[in-house]
Amino acid sequence: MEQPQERISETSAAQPCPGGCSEYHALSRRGFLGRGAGVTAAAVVAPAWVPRVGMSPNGPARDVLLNVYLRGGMDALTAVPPYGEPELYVQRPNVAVPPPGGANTALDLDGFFGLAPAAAPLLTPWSDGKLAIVHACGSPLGSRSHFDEQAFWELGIPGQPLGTETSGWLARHLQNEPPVQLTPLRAAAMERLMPRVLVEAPDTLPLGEPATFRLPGNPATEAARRSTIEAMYAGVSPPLGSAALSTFDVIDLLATINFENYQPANGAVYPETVFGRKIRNAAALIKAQVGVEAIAVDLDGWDHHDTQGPLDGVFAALMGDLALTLEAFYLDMGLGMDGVVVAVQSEFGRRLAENGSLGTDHGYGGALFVMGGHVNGGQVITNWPGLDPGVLVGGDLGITIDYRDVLGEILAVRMASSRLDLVFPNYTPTFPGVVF
Amino acid sequence: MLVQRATQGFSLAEYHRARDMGWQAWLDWQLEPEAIADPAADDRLRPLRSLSMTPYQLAIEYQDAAAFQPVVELRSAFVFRSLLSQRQLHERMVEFWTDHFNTYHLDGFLYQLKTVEDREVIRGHALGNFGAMLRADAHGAAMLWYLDNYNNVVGAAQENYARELMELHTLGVRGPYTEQDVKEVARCFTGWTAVFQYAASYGNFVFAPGYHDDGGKLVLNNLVPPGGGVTDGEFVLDLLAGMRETAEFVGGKLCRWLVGYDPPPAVKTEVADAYMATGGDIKAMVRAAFRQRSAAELLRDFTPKLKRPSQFVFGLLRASSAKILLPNLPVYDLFVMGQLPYDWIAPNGYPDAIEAWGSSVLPRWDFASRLFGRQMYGVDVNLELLFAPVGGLQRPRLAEQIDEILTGGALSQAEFDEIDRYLASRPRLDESTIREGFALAASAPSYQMY
Repeated sequence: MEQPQERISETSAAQPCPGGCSEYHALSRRGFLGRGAGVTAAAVVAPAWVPRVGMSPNGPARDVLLNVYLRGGMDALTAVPPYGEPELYVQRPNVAVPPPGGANTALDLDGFFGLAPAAAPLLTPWSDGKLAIVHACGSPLGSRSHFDEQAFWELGIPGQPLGTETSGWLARHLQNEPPVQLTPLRAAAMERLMPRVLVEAPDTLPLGEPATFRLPGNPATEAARRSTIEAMYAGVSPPLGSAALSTFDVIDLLATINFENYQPANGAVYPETVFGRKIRNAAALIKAQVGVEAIAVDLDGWDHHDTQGPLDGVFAALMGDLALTLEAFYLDMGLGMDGVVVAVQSEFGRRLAENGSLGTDHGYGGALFVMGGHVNGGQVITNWPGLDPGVLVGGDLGITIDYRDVLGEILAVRMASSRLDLVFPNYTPTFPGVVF
Repeated sequence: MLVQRATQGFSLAEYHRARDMGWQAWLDWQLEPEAIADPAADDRLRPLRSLSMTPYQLAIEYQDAAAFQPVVELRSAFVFRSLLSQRQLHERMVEFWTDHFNTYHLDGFLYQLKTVEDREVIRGHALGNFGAMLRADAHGAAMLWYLDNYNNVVGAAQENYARELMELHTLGVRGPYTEQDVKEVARCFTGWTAVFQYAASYGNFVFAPGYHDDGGKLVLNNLVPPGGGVTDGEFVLDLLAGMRETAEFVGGKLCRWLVGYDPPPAVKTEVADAYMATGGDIKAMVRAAFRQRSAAELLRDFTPKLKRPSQFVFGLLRASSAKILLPNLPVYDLFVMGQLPYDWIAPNGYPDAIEAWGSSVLPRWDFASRLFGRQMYGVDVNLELLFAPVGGLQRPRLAEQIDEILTGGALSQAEFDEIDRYLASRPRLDESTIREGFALAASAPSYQMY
């Protein structure tokens, strides 16, 4: 018999915690342990499951997209501080990562940008040239509302009235392209609710915890009950009807994958966090090669108005969770990263000037992290606008690269998208050279 | 089915009561929750001692390993009230306002302060006056903490509360405010804080004049003269609560909750008018939303909505007269379905949208199967009890009886036929088959809607 209450409290307590929870301090310290230096070197043979290599009968091969959304407005000026800008430290006397030099300072990336120390695990893919950072990037509207900006971002229609488009940009990509292989699960969310980016996507479900995705009840009557439910849902309009029918096929599909005892490769260790668990499940799903083309995962809790803690507080803890998990995923995939692209996004960056409560308010320009085998990595890709008061946009870092440029390039170059005009209506992306 | 929109889920008993009383009389009765005796819920709430404690009592009573106890008890209270309270419309409104003024339970002091917020802000005003609830919320330690206003100080105001106050609580994101208004409102609320030390005054509102920006402000074209102190914020709250845009935004959201995802503009206008005519009386808004309608108007206005997990779980437990020996399991199932009580991190609350919940059907089938299949430790469904209101089990009419018990006879013909066919295909109509019949009916598409 399960012990539900314990499971709930454990799981919930591991959720990000905007006010600052003790578990995050523990987590951030743990963040610096156990990084497997040079572990990737062990993966010298391409694993049999590498998803991209010439396997698609339906046109060009495609990467699997792991679409990570950081909800709450991730502070790009803390994650990837432009430490070469004196104005950063003028505007943020208390909430800034110090320039490189000594303990708990920025990790230098290129002599101008650094990385928050909590993001140190990201140096593993960075130094392999598999991680790029796109800075001063974002969605142009600038409403500074979480919910508006997340909606516009995920629908792919910033500036157009909400309601004119109901499907997510990733959903439209999947609608427009034939599947890589016949599968009931072209895309999945490792979430319990469907994220907007996948709303109306074909053959797509939110899986929650995929290890428990099965029909309950007496096995002897399962087939009969199943056909009764199937018959009841036939012809029912989406999302209920389509979700119900694909649920059965996905039950069968996931039964062939051992999520519970999944063993990451190359000594990778995923953090014991909700996010770590989601990405671990995503890795298992990708390696199973069942035709999944995209996976959406959320990490919430980035709205750090108060006591942001870039070095040892809430931000550091959350960033530690993100970076450790992405590093584990990177190591786990090994050469399989060749067929995978990870795009980490957030609805906006945060204001340049800190506020009076050791935090930062809603801003404008942010940063995207893009990781993968065909990423032009090891560099910060940017048309850096600077932080001088005259170039700020309402007190915030500007946007010189539209997020659709980055996502559009990933779709076109790595996912064989033929109809970017439908994915991002009324917008023509300019590729910034993030992937090849 | 208006009863479903006004309760935490269909039960045959409530349906019969509303039918016998007449809809408007039932509504009048439900709109005076204080006058409704509630012994069944009270019995289950009595052992949950944390519910009635002050912040300081909570802090000293529940320390260290016991710190999570108030969280567990508040979640349990949500389950018991939703299932057992006779004040069903009140509970329905409590859920609405809990999302409207969302705070996150596991945010530090909220372990304790959420209990107080739920009791004094949400439950205290759920059918009261909107402006009064808004003011109570703004002064409440829970919101001051969650949206960080407790630390909003002169010279470097922080905008978190100011923005969500206008975007989420009152005017809506399309409301008539600018970025400059956000900054000015943030200045008005500088110095608004609360006691966050474990002292007798823990959780009390405090205005700290030394941290208040006493300069003049311009809020939505209204001059706020210098030297106003705490009245700056009070002025903003009154201003917002009195605006037509607030009536339209809050009223529109309430219509979405009670009437349909996209209610006719005329219905929304009536509800906003009721708000403006009464200065924000919530009962008047609910009455306007539920006003007497012709059969044709009912069909036009009350379009089907997807049950959120709470409505599905509570509805099924209510309809099945399930005996809850422990509250934990229904809470666990809400977690699996993505709606653990008070666990939505962002300030906009759990969504009320089919796009968000409609692709996740398996957890619902799973819940129905385990509930009726007696695989749910701590919850029991007794068949004899279940069939009593329909005159006892009559095997030849089984599908019909299941439909009557769970929905009042609202399954579609096709669904009914499928369940009937399933039952007919079994070798015997034994207890486990009957239980499977219930689970299948609760898994039907129309059962997910209300």
